[in-house]
Amino acid sequence: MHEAGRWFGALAVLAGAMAASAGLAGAVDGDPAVPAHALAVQAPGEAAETCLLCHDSPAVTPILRTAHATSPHSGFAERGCATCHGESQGHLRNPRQIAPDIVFAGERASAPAEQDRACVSCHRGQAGMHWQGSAHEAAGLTCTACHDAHADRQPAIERVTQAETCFSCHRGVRAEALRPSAHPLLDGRVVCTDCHAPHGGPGPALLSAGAVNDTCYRCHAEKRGPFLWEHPPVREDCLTCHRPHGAAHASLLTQRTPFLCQQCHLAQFHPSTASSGTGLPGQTLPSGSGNLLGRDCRNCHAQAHGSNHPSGAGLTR
Amino acid sequence: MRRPRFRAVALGLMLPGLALADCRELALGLGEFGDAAFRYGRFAGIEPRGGFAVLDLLLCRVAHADDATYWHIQGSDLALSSRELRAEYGEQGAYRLWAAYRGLPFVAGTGRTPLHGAGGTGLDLPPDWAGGANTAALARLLPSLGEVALGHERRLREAGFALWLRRHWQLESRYRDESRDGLTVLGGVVGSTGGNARAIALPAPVDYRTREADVALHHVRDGWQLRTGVLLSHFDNAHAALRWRNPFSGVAGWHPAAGFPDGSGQLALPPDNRFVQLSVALGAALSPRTRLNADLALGRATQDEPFLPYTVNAALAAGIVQPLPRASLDGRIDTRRLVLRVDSRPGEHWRWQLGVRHDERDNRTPRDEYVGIGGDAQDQDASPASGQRRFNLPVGHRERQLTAVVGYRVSSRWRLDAGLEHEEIDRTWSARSDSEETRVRLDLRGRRDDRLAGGLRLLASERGGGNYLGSRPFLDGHASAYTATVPGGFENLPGLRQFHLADRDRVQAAMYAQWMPVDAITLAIEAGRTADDYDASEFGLQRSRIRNLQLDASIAPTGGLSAHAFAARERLAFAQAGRSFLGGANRLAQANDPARDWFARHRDTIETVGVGVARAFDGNRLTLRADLAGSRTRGTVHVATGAALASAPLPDNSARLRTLDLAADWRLADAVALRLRYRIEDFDSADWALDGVAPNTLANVILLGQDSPDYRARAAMLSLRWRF
Repeated sequence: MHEAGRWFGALAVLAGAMAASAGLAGAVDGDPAVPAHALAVQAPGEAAETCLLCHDSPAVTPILRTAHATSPHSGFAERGCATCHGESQGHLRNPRQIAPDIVFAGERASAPAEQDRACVSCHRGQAGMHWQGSAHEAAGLTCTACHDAHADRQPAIERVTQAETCFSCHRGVRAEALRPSAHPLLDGRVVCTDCHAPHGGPGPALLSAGAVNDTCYRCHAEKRGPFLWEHPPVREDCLTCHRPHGAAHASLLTQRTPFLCQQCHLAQFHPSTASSGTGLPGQTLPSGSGNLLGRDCRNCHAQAHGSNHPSGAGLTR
Repeated sequence: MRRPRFRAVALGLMLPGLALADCRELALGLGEFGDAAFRYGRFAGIEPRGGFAVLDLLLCRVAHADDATYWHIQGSDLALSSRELRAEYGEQGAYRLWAAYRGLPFVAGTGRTPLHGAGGTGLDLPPDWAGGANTAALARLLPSLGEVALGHERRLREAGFALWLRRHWQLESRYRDESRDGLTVLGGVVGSTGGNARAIALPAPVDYRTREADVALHHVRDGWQLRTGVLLSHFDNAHAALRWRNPFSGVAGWHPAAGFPDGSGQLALPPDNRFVQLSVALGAALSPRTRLNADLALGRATQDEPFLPYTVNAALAAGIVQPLPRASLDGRIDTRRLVLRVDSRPGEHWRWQLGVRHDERDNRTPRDEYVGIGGDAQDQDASPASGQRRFNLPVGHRERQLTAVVGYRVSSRWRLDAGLEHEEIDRTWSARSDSEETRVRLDLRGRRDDRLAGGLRLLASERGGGNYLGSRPFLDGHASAYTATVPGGFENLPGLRQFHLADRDRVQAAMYAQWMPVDAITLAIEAGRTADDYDASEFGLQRSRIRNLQLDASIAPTGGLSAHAFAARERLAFAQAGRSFLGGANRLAQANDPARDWFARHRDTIETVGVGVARAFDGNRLTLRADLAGSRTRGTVHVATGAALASAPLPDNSARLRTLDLAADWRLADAVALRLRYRIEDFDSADWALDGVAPNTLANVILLGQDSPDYRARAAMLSLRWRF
């Protein structure tokens, strides 16, 4: 308690010092997040200035600090807001009645393809390459469903916040990530784009690597082999046995072992044995079935992903 | 059940700015962990018992209209093993350089083992060890147990650059170096036949390194884009093998030298491998409404780690009469993938898409004959009819898929997509050398207005294929002189259909809807059902049913209040069948005896809930947030057997996770805020395969005695946020 009090005291002193120091930095009125010097050196361009006469709001102006405005290739310096929203002459003449040429949200939003075209015209080499015909595009999503072109922080891109963006549609994945065995999506240590290409790609389920196994090998390269003794379903598709986002069973397995193993292996003696409560430990030790307890089949068949040992044909070596 | 204590008093001294312009931020903190909780810190920087420091950092310069250069450095949890640090420097539209580091710890609990030397490649027994034929005879087992911490830590280092060479060209490269160190569990068995197998759970070293480099050249034109790339991936394992001294002795059927004290076992750790892939991706607008995508990737995976000897035991090695056919595998898999897709919008209402996918894993690994030594315990049996005379099966496959989708906008509110897919897979050395599946999809999406939208997805598929020859891997993998001696000529029951190869009928339906009754409230529902039937499978997986339901609600009225809630439930049910049969004289009779049938019905129910509320006061000067989330999992297995077998019920397995996260942010000044955070995580689980199963419970296997995870963790943090 005494020690905790000292820490809190030190924290309070430091807090005061920082508060005093921060007070010297100052900020722009009405937008405390933006220091005065930041806007002072950032010329938005003539066209943007016209728009900002009406649209000078915290939801709009952060774009001036992003690559959308500062990149020499964006065209923003010459065309300002018209770069993405179109020349919008009608809107300039009659802003209340006529919408800009391209609108990305709200009741007057442009058609999805028209919105996408504005983005893809610049991002055609990366995000745009596979976008048309991708699962997300086919589902009617537009770029602004995930991205805010005006914001200087992009939750869909930053690792800490990306999952929440994806969960807004893929709600079931959030629930899967709370299961006893799960990839650390909620911890932010693995993010959706570590495996998926949300703008489309050659792989199934928007996988960026082109195939399920190639995706898994990026972090689990030790399972790539080839091995002397292969386990055929492993070679073909990791998802034969694993659920990628989260599972009720250990190691992201779809079902509980040894029963999962016995859906493919029913040979004489122990592989075909009926595993049930008769294999649980009894009153006296030792007792219980080695096929059922501990790591069950893997108590001996440790190399389920393949073995390179010349005597490991049974995946025990 | 063990209850790890997690005691954390985190005094965060955090100075982050808000990063909306040039930013300078720093975070410092102190805390203490009382113990290593299994899940709370599993990926979140679990540290050894004692104090820890918190250090966060964010410095940046944004590009300006008159100077397009920018940079930023961002770090979090820098004093913990889960630290992340990323730095980037570049000029908008010209170049970009970046580097990153990420730590990813994984804690897998602790175990108890009599073996010494965990972390190395040779595991030994205590000097006073006395062997025995089973655990009951191992008098020194329990007194010799020592604790080992399982888990590993990944350290990921990345660097890359992007360079806009000329207006239409961009060069991009990325290098990634990941190391992984720690301990995992592998089962080490000695002996292999006639009931003479004895095993011990081994703490196996993880000392991996994966290096990956990717270079791509983009050429971007208005009408078409081209990307050519090279990917190199090298996996290296610092350890080729794990050897352990055999704790058992005097087991019938073993060579006298196989048991304690002279005998050892050895298994191979994952071998080094290499992968290289060349890829070309083309995107082209064939017309203003039609686009072509083509992706070609040609790769080669190789593995040529020197083989370990048939046995690590010198006495057995001396008796080898048929040596290894080669010194290393010279394994090679050539991968060829071509994906073509044409997508078109011929009119306002219509859309169509045609796709072709060819994905081939051509396994060119040499096939040879190996005469293994079963579990380092027996003399090599090189007789022509030896069951140890084995041929490796370099399995590969070729997948071809055709896809056609037609979409029609029925009205401004409704859209219907219909798809047809046909997939064919050819396999080598497989029980089913060719299979095919046809899928039909319907996707109906509707939107009444901005407040109500939803949809329905339906899928029906039928998988079949050529003859299922269940014994083919057995016959191809053994000497014919041996298989001729096996009654019936099969290994697995002839009626078994391995589920990934079996005929399967699938029906899948899902619906979803989202409703905004008022601006501030959004309600959503998703429900789905998947039914798989394996009607042609006498044994193996026969039926699978998965049902899920999810409800979501979010409320964001004015006044700075927002709240969300979700609840999900998934129920998975599986049915499988088997028939228990022994070897020897009764093998065929039992393999054909329905009285020896058994059936297992599985039901896993997973319920997940979450609710959160946030409230801002005084113009965001004070915000309060509370999030509660959790999941409950229950798994049941019901086994029924025929008259010739006996069975008993299995207890249910369960797991329950509950987390509570409370946060309060109080902005003291424009750039200074105080944060108070409190977090509880509670995890309970029950697993009959682990709980109460000690290292000496089983007669023939020495386990690690791990209980299923069960803990409660708490953390409290007071931090100061500051931008300067």
